Amino acid sequence: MRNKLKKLENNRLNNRSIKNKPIIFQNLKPEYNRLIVDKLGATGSVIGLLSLLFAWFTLKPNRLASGVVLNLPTSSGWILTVLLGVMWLICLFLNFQSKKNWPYVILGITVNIILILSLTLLGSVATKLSQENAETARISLGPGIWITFLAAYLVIFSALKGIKSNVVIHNIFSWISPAVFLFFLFSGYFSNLSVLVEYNAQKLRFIQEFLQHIYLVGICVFSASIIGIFLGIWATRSKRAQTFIFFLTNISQTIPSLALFGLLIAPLSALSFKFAFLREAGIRGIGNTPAIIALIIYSLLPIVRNTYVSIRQLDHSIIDAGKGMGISRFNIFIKIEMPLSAPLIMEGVRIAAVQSIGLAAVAALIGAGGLGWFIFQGIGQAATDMVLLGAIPIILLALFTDGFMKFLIRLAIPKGLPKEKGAIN
Amino acid sequence: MILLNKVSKVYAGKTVVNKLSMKVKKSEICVLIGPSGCGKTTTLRMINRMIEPTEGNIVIDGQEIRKFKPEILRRSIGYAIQMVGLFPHMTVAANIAIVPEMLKWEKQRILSRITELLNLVGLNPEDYKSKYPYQLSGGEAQRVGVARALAANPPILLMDEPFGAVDPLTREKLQTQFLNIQKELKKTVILVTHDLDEAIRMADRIAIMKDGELVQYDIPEVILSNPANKFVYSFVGTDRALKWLSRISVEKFIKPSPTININASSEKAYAACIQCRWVWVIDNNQRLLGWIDRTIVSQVNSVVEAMVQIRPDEVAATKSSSLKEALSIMLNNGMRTIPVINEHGIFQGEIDMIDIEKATSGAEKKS
Repeated sequence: MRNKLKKLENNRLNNRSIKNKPIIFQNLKPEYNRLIVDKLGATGSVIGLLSLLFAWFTLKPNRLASGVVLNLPTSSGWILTVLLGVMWLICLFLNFQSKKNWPYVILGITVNIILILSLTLLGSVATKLSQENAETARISLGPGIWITFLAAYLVIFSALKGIKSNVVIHNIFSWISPAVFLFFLFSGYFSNLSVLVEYNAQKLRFIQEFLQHIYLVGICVFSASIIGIFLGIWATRSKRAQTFIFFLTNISQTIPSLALFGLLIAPLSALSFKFAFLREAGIRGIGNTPAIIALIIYSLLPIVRNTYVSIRQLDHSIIDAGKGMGISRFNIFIKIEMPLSAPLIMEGVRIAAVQSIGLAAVAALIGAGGLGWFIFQGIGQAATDMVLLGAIPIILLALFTDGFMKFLIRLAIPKGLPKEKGAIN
Repeated sequence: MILLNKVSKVYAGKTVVNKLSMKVKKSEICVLIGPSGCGKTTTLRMINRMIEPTEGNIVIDGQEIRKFKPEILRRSIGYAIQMVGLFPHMTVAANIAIVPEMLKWEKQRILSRITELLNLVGLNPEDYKSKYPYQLSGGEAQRVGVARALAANPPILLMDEPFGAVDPLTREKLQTQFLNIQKELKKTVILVTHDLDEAIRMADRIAIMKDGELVQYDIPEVILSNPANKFVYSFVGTDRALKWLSRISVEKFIKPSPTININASSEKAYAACIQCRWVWVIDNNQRLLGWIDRTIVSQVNSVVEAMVQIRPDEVAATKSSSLKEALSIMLNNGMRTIPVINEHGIFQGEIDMIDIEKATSGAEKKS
């Protein structure tokens, strides 16, 4: 009874205090009480809703013919369409809220359910359609599914931004769907999708070209790192060398990749024609040699530039103190300059590697092979699936390399430098 | 002993140091000072061969420095600079250990040296050993810089504005601390600064430079009382008497003065006051509490009642402070006579403004 009275009294006091406040203060409510729209998440949710209107699958009678477009209700039924729509609406609704943690958690869960549901749909619809149609029929993905993925990741980003500082939840939300995707991929659940049908048809060739791609990029990044770091250091030591080196690397970057690959053919074949030992070493106008040379030339600029900047940006007093204490020039380089500039140099290597993975696709044109082979063959045959068989692994390879290098760079940041300060980008 | 013999440095036709000759005695602090661009840093850097002189030679302890490899020479000369230049990827301990490691000291010896040096510069080794430079304040970094310069116990120390990059309060602390260290270690120090107060405080001998030439090289007292020319006169400034006071310790001017215990009877107090106008009041531990005035003492019953209480940290000068500080305290409190205490608060005597005036007139007489 007494408690109740107390509560009433408290309520009365609270009410009065609000009433007694001047109007101007009542308008200035604290921000956390106000409804906030998370723009990123809301945009993602709207795009997700719109994706339901697009075609989700394309059914082609064979590999090359143009196909029939299937939208979501016709391919998967109305129930699933409505279900997805409702979930996107929930996502949209969750983005209009006060700054609290739990709506973001629900948002992350919902959008991951949407993703996993869509992935399940891919496999089941592909299997169903392939059973219903002739063996030559190809089922490929329509814009609807791509847009769904895009929208889902926009929403996941906004959810991750909202949930602060919980590493476990962060990792679950960002990796559960890719994990499901990989599981489906390797368990053969997707094997009726056209890209994988194409892959299964050319499995050996794919593995060969995939390895060739990695080989090209690996050789080029390795050599470019050695040459680039050397040139970068040289540029810091001499003003004239700096002008010359940056002139060359900058110019080389402006040559269109296709042209550079082509330009190397003539001089290299002339050399290999003239000198037998070069020919015996496998150096010819087409094939690996011009491809690797061109890729090295392109990779030089980011590495040289980052090496130069990383050494130049070092606090001059550090080097001065080192010299004044009697540390030899060589030891200053090894023990002071290198550890402090390693992260930035590796950043240059990362840029070079990611860039080379993309550029190496063009190398297929001069007979160096690699995943580009599928792209150009696919374009020649007007077989979209084959183009994708080349393009998708290139994208995944680039993303993986990017992430892996960033991880290495974090490891390379010396202990005495705060991680946030040392990290670039 | 360091001997500079007609040393010149010419950069692209421009003479930065011009036939400079000077002698720095062993265990002295020699301060190079002058307006910016006068060649003081260049002179300093020629001593450890960071810059090679165009002409002339430099001799350390009878050996010409050109005979040594620059790296070897530098390892026997401590070097501290304004920006400190601690290696950011190494801990404080690793930073200090660099030169001893290059000299191939044993590990145990290096470790104990690190502890010794950190204690010397007033940083607790346990707290600071494994810190990284970015975790240090400006003053702490400067101290580590000095510790690093002293690491291999070099007989000579070159310092280029070593206390430049910190706030005035910290700077004064660091200067005092360095002077205490110097009393113990007795290094030959060459210090570059543009701060005249610092020079007067620290120097055994000041070298004033202008346009690459040595204008005057003498002990601070002479520089202040007897400027060699107009340039030095204006450089030293019109407050040179005050600057001179900052070099003189209160200690020599303490006069004994009557005191009375706080628990003493009023008769005793009255008796004490007959000889002089006031008496300082102390407690049983000789700590200063206040004073009593002759005019009041006759009207009250106890010392406590008559006493004017004072705060020793505001009104009293300490034994180690300079006459300039004592004068400042006098002016702040409107008193012509102030008490002097030692660092533990024990009463030592008093100092009078007349004595300070005598000290300054003494300085003028020298000129």
